[in-house]
Amino acid sequence: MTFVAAPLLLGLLLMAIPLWLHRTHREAPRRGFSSLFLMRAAAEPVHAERTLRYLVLLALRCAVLAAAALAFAGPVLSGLLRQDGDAAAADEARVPLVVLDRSLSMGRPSVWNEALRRVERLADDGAAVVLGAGTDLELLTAAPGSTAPEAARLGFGGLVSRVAAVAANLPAAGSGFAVHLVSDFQASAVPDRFNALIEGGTLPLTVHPVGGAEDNWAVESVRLSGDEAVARIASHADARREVGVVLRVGDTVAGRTAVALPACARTEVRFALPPDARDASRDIGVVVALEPGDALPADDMARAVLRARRSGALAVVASADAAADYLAAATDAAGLPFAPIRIGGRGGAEDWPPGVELAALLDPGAPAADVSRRVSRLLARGGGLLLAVGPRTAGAGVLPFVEQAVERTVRAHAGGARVVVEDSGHPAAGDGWRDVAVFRSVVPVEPTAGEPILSLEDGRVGPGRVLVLYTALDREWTSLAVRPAFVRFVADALRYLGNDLGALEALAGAPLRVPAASVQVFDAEGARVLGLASTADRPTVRLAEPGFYTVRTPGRSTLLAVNVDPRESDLRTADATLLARWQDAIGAEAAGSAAVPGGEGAPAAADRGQPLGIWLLALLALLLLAEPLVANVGRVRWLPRKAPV
Amino acid sequence: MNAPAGARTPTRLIPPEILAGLGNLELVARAVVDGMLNGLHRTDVFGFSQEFAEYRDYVPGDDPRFVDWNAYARTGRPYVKRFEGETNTRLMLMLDVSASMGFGGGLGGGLGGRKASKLDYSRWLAAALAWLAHRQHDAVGLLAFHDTVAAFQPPSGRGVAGERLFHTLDGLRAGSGTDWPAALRHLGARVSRRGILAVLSDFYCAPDVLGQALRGLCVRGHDVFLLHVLDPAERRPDVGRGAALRDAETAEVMEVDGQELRSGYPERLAEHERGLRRAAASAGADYVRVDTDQPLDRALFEYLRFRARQS
Repeated sequence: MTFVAAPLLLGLLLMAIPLWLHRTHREAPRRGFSSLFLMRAAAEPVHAERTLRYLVLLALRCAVLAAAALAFAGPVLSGLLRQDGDAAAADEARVPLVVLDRSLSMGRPSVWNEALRRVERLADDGAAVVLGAGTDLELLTAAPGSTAPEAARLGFGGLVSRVAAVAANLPAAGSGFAVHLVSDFQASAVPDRFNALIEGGTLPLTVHPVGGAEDNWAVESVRLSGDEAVARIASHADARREVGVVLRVGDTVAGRTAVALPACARTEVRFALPPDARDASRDIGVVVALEPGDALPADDMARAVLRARRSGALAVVASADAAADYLAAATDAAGLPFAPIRIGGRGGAEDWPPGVELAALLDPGAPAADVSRRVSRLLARGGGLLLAVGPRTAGAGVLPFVEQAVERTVRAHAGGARVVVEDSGHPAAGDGWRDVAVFRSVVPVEPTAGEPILSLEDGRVGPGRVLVLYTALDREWTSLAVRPAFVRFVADALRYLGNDLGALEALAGAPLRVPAASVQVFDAEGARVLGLASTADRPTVRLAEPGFYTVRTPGRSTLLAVNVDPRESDLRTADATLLARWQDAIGAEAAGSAAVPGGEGAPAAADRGQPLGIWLLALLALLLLAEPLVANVGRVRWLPRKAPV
Repeated sequence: MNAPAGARTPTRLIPPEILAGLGNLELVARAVVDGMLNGLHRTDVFGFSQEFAEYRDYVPGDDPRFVDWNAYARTGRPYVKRFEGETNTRLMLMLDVSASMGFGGGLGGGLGGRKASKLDYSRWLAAALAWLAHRQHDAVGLLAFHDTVAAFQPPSGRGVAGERLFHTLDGLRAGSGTDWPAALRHLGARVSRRGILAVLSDFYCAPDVLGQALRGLCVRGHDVFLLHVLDPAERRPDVGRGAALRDAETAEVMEVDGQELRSGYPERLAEHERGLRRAAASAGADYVRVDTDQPLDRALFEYLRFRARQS
């Protein structure tokens, strides 16, 4: 915003109005009077005082209009304080901050070598700071040539903001930085919103494109469905090409085919899975790869995990048929490897099927002796128990197996209440149902909003696990069972109790939330990536390299497939015009900043342009208050109160 | 129901704002005078109704209506009944219609809606006095003047003359300056018989000069009654912190200080009034100040008191 902006000039033009009015009303109107016979002329001319008051009024009114015009023009202070020469000198004094793109697409040898040469030129004087941008932004203390590209994804949205944040903590921050971004500038890495490119950009940016667009083919994903594997193969090439596609199940090549890939399209290739692999007792890694490889070999294969068959059963003891039905339906919907079986009769030995790994007692009250015996044995074997506390159990007063008094039970009311999980950090507390609103049509007891519905204190009876749900599942008691969150709750709770991690997949470099507590993660070479001590509170982990990882929980081990981000496979580059706009926009944003904000000796962050609009509005308010006061000086007078007639 | 003596009932107290809405001057005069007399006729202070005083011999020229025919039947000689208050007099209304009399209704404003200027008020008052005199069979005349004589009508007791006087009053407009000597010369040249001279003016002149002129009139037997008409805005002019005021008659402009106007002007006005009162007293005249925001009754009362005193 400069002073030649049209809105500002138009606003200032309004000042002509008070100027004109004051010019035409310069002379005070004379008042007629019957006779001056008894009058005495004033010792000092009143006209002078009047003129002075009019000048003050004129100044006030002009100031009102000027303040309004300026306030809405959005001025900033920096433009008034800085000289262009100063800004240019400040730019020259900046330390180069080289950001080297280390994403997967930079893994092409020619591109990577060109990028390294560019970095070396920029860091020629030895004063430059080099950041590697991949999974994280990290300071490269060794020579750039000793680093290598990662399999991670790098998006440009918010990158300048992250770079500025890192730069603020660097030792040379006081001198100020000039950012040089060395990248292949994939078009797919540019966010849809241009503002995301420049938000938070406080440092001037220079882009250094390296490499260029290349044809590439990639296996985007592998999906295992029933007895077949479906691979999705993408072509990012302008020409048709025939490639070989290989399926490996474990260490064995289980299939091979040739596919003609059309230009710039996606194709699905299906392979039948070997029967013995489908019935395996352990997880097996499945890989689909292209032959021969291309310029970017890392995306020429994709991985999936064929889960070991599990035949555990879920024994359901319910006081109400509806509650058992709801639990069974949710178990099926969640795709859990536990077959729900309703235990009828008295729950004797003849009623219990073999292979029961979990039990669910839905408001059992005081369970029958046979049921108690069976569940106690299950817990002694390390099985899990889901215990729902409803009116019958509350009436009994004691939680079975846990041997604790029933202190509460949640009963929804007609208006609904939002109830929560007591320990939201618990492995069984999934994201989808931690905060559940439950409703019912009859109002016997009103729960307090925020009352916990699930105790997740890892109650253990011997080696077994017990989860206590402080509400029943029948609809007379609560609507939880018909809420969308119920399926997620059942999936999380039963997986936790059954020690099942579910299907695990991740993208290289992307954050992965560790699926359970007490987890260890090992890479393909057996090196531990994540230790037990780090998983006490379900942390987020980034697995940098694609491949198969082993996730071990107490008593169970499963495979985790990590693939590269398919967006990295599209090697088309961003438009040069867009890059120029990005560079210019960041330059304009950073023009007012001679140094990194927060750096020692650097100008304050306000140098980027302190907005003056709010101050001008405050001034405008004061002027508007002063104007009538000045205009009515000597005119306002308290009138004497009239006496009642 | 009879009202207490002297009580001011709503019918008598017609405020000037109401009178300003009555376009007909005669109607104004009748409303004011009748209203006032209705309140007077039960008082013993101002009774001047005709009471029998004596008989005298009839002489040619007497009104035959006043011949006591019963006495003529008993004595064979015509006698005329004489009543107290019957003595007719001449009321000469001397009305200042200079530009300063056009002032009123607020400072710098004209009539300001239905507010009356000093001239309006003076015309109503003159009309009311004329009507009152007419009811007493007094002859009424008019001299309206500013720097020249605007209108002159010699005193006459005839009804036609009264109507003409109302028309003349109705047509008077504020003129320019004030020339008291010329007006008094004109009056002295044309009114030789003694009578009551009611002078309605704002008297923006030196009291000494006025007193000297009044002495000349009083010496010739006139009973002079000064009615000093002032607008409320003249008593308490409000110009804020100060203003430039323009004289209505001379167009002179003077910057005045609001503070001085609030403190010094009322004192000067009071001193001026005292000077006028002294000048009137020394000449044997009566002085009454009337304000245009007050009903006309007070001025009429004063006139009647003056009239009773003279008779």
